[in-house]
Amino acid sequence: MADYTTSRTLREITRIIASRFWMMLVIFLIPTAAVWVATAYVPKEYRSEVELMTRPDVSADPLTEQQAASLRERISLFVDTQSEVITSDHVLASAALRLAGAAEAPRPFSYRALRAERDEALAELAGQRDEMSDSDYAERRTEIIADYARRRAALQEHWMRRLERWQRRVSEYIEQHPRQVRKLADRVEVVTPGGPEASFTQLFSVRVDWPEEPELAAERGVPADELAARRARQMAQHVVEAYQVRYTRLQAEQTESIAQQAVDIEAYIENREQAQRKLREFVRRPEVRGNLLHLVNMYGRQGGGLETGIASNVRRARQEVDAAERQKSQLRAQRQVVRREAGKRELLARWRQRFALLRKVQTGDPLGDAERTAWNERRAALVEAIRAGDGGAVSDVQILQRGFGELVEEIQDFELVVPDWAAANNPEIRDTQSKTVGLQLALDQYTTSLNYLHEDVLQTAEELLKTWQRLRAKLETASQRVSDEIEVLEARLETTREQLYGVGAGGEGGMEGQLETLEPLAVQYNQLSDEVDRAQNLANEAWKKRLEVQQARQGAPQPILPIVVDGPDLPDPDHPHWPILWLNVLIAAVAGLVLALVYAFLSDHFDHTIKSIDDAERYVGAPVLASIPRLGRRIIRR
Amino acid sequence: MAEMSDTAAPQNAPQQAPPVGAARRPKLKRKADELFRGLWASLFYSGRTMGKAVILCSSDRREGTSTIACGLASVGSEPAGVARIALVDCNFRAPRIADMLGARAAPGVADVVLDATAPEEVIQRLSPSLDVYAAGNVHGRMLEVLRSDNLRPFVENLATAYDHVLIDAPPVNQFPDAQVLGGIVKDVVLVAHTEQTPREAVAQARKRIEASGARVVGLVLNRRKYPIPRFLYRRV
Repeated sequence: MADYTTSRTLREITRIIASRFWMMLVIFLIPTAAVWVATAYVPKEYRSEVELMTRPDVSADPLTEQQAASLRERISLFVDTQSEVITSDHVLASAALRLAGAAEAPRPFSYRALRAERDEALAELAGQRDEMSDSDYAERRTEIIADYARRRAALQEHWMRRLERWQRRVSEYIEQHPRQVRKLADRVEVVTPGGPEASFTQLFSVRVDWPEEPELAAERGVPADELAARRARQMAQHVVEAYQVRYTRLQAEQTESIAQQAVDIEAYIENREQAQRKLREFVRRPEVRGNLLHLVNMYGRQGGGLETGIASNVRRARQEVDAAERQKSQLRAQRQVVRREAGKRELLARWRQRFALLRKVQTGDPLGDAERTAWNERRAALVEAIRAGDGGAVSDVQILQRGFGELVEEIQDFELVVPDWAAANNPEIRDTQSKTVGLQLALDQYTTSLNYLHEDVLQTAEELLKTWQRLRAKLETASQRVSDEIEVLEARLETTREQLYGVGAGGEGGMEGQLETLEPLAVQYNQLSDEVDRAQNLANEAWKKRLEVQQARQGAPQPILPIVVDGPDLPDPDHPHWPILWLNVLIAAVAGLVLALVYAFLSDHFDHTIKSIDDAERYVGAPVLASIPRLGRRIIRR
Repeated sequence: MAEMSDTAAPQNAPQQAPPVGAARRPKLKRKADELFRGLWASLFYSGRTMGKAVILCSSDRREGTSTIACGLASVGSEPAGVARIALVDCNFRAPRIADMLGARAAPGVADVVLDATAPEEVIQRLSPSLDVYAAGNVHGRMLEVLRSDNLRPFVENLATAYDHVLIDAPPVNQFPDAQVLGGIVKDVVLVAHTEQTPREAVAQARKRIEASGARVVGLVLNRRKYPIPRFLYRRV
């Protein structure tokens, strides 16, 4: 054996493996054998598969390209939804009950036999076409078709009743055995050829993996594997049947719900039309017909917020009347004040007379007859007053002084109340009033320092008196103006009132009356039109919903029939779907091999003995003179 | 005088000492013969050794040192007359050579060194060119043998008297004997049992030998296994 090497690494590996070959073999064989034995004893599962194909309903018209494209989508969608239906609790439980031998399980609904009968009858009729008249033929034909429809409906009803019972039973089963149903869900699987990512598929398969049931097999006295294979096939058959029944049922429910919605929409439309009819009738009433515009506009506003309806007009007129009334009463109060002041005319005139009389006496002018009697009376009164004061003799001067004194004092105390509004509106009044104030002040000054008979006092008093008279006259004018104003206001008020309440006792033609008659009508009108609006909205919504339903139905796989293409196959008892012996053993062998290699390399790594010349030279550093192989126990022959 | 007799004795030995008992020149299996010839050649004909004497020892017990010593002695003495060879059993702990070759166990080296027996008396001539010195009557006196002043002159005399001297020594990692001998004979061959002796032990043995002043000439891998089957070996 040469010690020079072709490939050191390869040789090293070979050496590591070769030196531990037997141990490695043991390590490799143990898991392999263990898995082999375990696989042989594990219960086997058998797979049965049913292939289903979806296709459009044959009654559909030939499709355009676009329709065909959408149909492809619909079919794909359909397949997706069907896998949910098939693995639903209901279908699984139903299949389980069927497998357990429930006799009352309904078969998928089919009226093929009935149709065949009808077609046969029609064909026979067509054969006898020449022997009968046209009307007879048509009659017979209609009869046959009607008979078929009747029998079909009866069959369907019977089937539905049976289905209802069956569904109750299945629901009970689901409630009572939830765990079994869940276990079934693991055993049934729906697959599409392209997997879930496939863009289009028309085919899908239902797979059932059924395990061996040793107890059941012992009870029936058949080999467990054969029984499991048979039951897998039966279960697949039952799942498909249960699914077909369920599918038919779901379809029927869908149709029903759509029909229900159609009925609803009729009701909505009827409702709306009724409301519209009511409104029309109302409008046609004679008291409404002419005033329709008023009714519509009664509470309406036009653009810009201007109120034009009769109701708002009435409201405005009422406000106007109220305002005018308020103004009137205010003006009246003012007038009253002014009138009271103006009423002091007599007093002022008397004072002028008395003043003039005293002046005449003072100057010694000749007096008229009337004047003389007046003066005599007055003089007597004055004398009396003076005497009552201090007694003694009374001079003429004393009398005159007394007479002027009384008058001046009276004039001094006099006051004319001028309302602010009058002074504010009229500058003349204002000037005159300020003049009176000045004169009063002057008079006050004079009377404190001067005798009443002094000329300044007398002149000022006279002047003041005159000014008072002028002011009074002006106030009277003002009062007159207020009265005029009140009159104007009243006239206007009258017009407005007439507009509002009409003329005469009946109140004919007044807006108020109009409003009174129209208001209930307007309320009615509004109610009716609101009702129409509501009904319209409801109907619109119903329409929308119906459209949605229609779209959904178009999108839904309604006209698609899933048909069985390839029936459930009977699995071969010798070839269970799971576990696969060779695969398991292969996996175990690979694992064992890896384990063995790991063992070999690890143990070599930790083995520090000298194994080769390389080792010796590397770790000891001495040349190897020779390596002597095992040559047997004794190398020396004796 | 002693030196004279010592040197003289081997020269006369072939004539004087007759083959002893059943002992004769050891024959090797043919395959072993070839292998040992190779070893002999690489040991003595390649200029590795400094002197004529070589110590053979191992790092541990039972690694096959004595067998290899016998094998080497066998191939070295063949064909007769080429070289004169002495095989000395200094493994006083477990003397094996006499037993292996079917020679007397005593008297031997211990007798010469301790009891001043004449070397000629202990020579056992197995073939005209192979003299064997057995361990002799040790009786637990290994340390005395090693400490004795007679050991060095005895070994040195052997080296001058023979062409090649092969000395079998106890495991160096367990007994100091090899180190003591290493002070006398400078060439040491280490024997290691393949796949059994740890490399650390061999490295340790080498250190010890070098500490004693001797030199490891080389390593002999004994009982080597070839795990790779021949058909594979040729391919990798």
